[in-house]
Amino acid sequence: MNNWPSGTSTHTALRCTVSPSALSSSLSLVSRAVSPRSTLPVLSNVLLETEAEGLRVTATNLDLTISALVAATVLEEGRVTVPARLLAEYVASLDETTCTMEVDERTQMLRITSGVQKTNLHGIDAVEFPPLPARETAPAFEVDAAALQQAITQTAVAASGDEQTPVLTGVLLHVEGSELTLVATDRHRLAVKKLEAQVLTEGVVSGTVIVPARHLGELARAINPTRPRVGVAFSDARNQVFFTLRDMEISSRLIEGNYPNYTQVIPAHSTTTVVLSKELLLKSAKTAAVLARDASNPVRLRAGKGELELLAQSAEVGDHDAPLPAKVDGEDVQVAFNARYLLDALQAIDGEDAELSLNGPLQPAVVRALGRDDYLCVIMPVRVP
Amino acid sequence: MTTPIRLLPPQVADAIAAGEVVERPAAAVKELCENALDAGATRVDVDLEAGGLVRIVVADDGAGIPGDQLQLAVARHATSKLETVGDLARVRSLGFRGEALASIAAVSDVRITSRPPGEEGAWLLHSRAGEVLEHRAAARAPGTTVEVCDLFHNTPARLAFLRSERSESSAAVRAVSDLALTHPEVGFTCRSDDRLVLRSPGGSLIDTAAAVFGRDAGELIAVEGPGEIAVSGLISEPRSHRGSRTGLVIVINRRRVHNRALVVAVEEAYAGLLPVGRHPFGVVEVTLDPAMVDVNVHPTKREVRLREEGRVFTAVQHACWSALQEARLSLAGVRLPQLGGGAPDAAGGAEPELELREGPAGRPVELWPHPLREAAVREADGGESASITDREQAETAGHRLADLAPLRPLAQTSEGWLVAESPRGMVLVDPHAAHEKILYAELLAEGDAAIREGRAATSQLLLVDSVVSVGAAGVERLSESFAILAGLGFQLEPFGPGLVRCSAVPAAAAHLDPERLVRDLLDSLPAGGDAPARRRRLAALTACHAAVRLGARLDPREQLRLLERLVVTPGGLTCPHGRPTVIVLDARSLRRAFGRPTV
Repeated sequence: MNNWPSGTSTHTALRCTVSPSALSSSLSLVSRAVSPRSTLPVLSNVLLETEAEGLRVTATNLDLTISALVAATVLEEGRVTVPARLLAEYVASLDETTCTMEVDERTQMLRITSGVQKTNLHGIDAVEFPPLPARETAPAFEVDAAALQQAITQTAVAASGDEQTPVLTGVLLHVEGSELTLVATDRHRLAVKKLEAQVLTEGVVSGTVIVPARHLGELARAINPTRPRVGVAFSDARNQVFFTLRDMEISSRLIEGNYPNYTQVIPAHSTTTVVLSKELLLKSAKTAAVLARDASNPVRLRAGKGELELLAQSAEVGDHDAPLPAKVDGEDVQVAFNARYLLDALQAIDGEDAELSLNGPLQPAVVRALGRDDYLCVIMPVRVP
Repeated sequence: MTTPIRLLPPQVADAIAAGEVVERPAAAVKELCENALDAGATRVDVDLEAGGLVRIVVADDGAGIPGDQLQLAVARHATSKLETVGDLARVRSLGFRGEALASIAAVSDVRITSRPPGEEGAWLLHSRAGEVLEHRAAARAPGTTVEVCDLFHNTPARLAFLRSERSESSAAVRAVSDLALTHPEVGFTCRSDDRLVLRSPGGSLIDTAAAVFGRDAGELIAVEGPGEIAVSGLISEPRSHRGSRTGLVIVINRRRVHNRALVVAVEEAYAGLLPVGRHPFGVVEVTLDPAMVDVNVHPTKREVRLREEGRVFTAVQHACWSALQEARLSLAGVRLPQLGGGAPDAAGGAEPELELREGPAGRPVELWPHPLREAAVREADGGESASITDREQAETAGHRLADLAPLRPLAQTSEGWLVAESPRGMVLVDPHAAHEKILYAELLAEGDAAIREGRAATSQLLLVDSVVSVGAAGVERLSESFAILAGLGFQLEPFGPGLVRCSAVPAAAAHLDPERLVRDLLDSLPAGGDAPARRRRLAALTACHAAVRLGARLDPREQLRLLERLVVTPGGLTCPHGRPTVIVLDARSLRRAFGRPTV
């Protein structure tokens, strides 16, 4: 068994009472960091440890660590690790309002008593649990949780799934003064979101990191109205980011590497501007996408004479043609996009009207909500006959 | 000290010359069988002992040799087949040098018993190392029997160079099968150490091929290419393939020849259908004006020189390709494991009478009637003989891929295989192979359309161009294929010394790292090769990279979409590397596997 080089205490006799439902909801979030196919048994476990304010549950896959503090009455301090899935499923099945957890120091057996039920789970000594990334500093800035949640949803979708290029599987977080910018691209589309940040430290805050998009997804999942603010801190070595929420902390390793210079691909001008109802366009694009389901089968847009026409055809299935009323300024144009990219962009924007800034069939187009400049999506066309 | 130069005694000279013609027992077997065929035999029976090293007997029912000519038969350059030098240009018989029997006689103990039809009795001639020991009247039905013993007994150096008994034996059996294939109208039997290893009935090529290639011969594809250079024969379907090229028999004007170019021509026809390192088998016969073939290149007549080889190459490639396109690709059910290795299933189709298989060391050639036993041998053999697909059950009739529509997904296993249902039974799908073939076909189809319509192929433009460092040589090699790559949807151009800029990729490959893809394309570019082959190779690589990985979870809609696309994909039964995309477990196979009576 691997021994982690940490000086953690071997004192493990833990005893506390806790609400099964509170523990269960925390476990469901924390367990997301458990790697399903770990070769190291202890990484399938969740770490339980007592703190002054309650019971802390933590899981890690070494890249992502999620911990949550659950209100508990601590009767005896201690630490233990138990299989995460097993514990989560078991606790979720308890109807009682309270349960008692205690650890046999010798056998590392966790006994859970709830009402008349008594259950023993085999644990692994907490000393086996890998040392967790320590947050040395207080958060540098703080953002509104709901705004961050939306920003993550809007950008992460544009990140690449191709592990061959790690930087593109991440979302770029760039903080400059009181502005936080999130950027993601998969080389064919680019999503950029700006939101306000409240600087908590003295002096100027400025910096750029790349966080795995999947890890930000776990952060977004944890956000709800009970966790209204998210603090952001970095390790001194600048290789870890920490997101602190009311009762939770999520830390992720950062992706190293150079992010492409995204600002240069955002077109400053456009030759054609189309403004139309977002709902109408989204609905029509969804219909068109039924026929344009494959990457090599794009949706064609034809703008001119007060309308935007969506065309899709599939050799096997048929074709689709939908003219939509639109305000078209500039040159008439025909351009094709991967239907998925167009749908993702339209679903990500707020507001009633969508604004498409087109630059002919071979140049990038920009999709944004009319009159909003906090979010935009750049899409590269598909060259078609 | 000088060694005087002397003329070799004739027997020594003959023994040396014999080695050029008869270099191993298989060559002797071949020469003797060819003599039998030239004598108009309708049956040839071959008996081997210890791979022919101890004893070879070839008996025929042909024209026979009159008693007074028997001595000539073992003399050098005696032949009944040529009279003038001019005849050489019109050789249609198999043997003509008059060397064969003499060469064999020079290095062995030979007994020839022969009786021409119409003669009263037979005559026997016994010679050893070329010296006649006995010449007397004997008894035999019309025909000739040549018995060769102690081959190479007087040339120990040759003996030392022979390979194992097993390998000599399989070479000899192969020589007989080659002749059986080139002369399907003649019945052949071949016994090795008293085991019958080949019995071709003497009739149609398909029956002969069945005897030679085993039970999968039922699924051989007929090749028909009439014309001045006529091509015919039977070739393996893409799901059957072998680990070596020895199963592919090339016949020119009824002579089995070794011509690398024509083997390549056949293999080219299978481009994209076979796994890497696997080879087709069968027999491909070319009939052309004898003046276009020079057979007098090598004493064993193994190699021939073709005038206008290019035309012949094209004719062969095209005939095989057309045959493969038209063939109903068989979707034979998998052979389900028979646990316990019990008796062959009673409900199964009739076992073929005989199969030619090369056995493991120690058991030169064996009859392998049982699939499990064969699998064991194959393993022991290092996979050199038949592949699993060689022996797909013949009774499972071939299906067209379209017969599987509608193909409805049921589930995905934890390993990633798709389980689907079709009107023909349960179907297992390899999602990667299926997707790969779909993308491959789409890439090529889109490229074809683009060429036809004189436009660029559909491609996803890159937001940020990828500049790939490939070195000066890499730029050179890639540049040669820029046009081909453009036809697939790539937009590449030289971008300074050693650099290539990629500004667009095929839409299907948009999710890939273009830099890595371009490097892999470069690595996979064959040195030289014609443009269509390069194009197929590049399309296959792109499709392979872009296809979903085995193990990736597909939601039910994605599964359905994949299967819908697969059933309309031309050649969708195999991936571009020739691996199957689907396995059909038809009701009959399943019932059999579960030991239920088949209906």
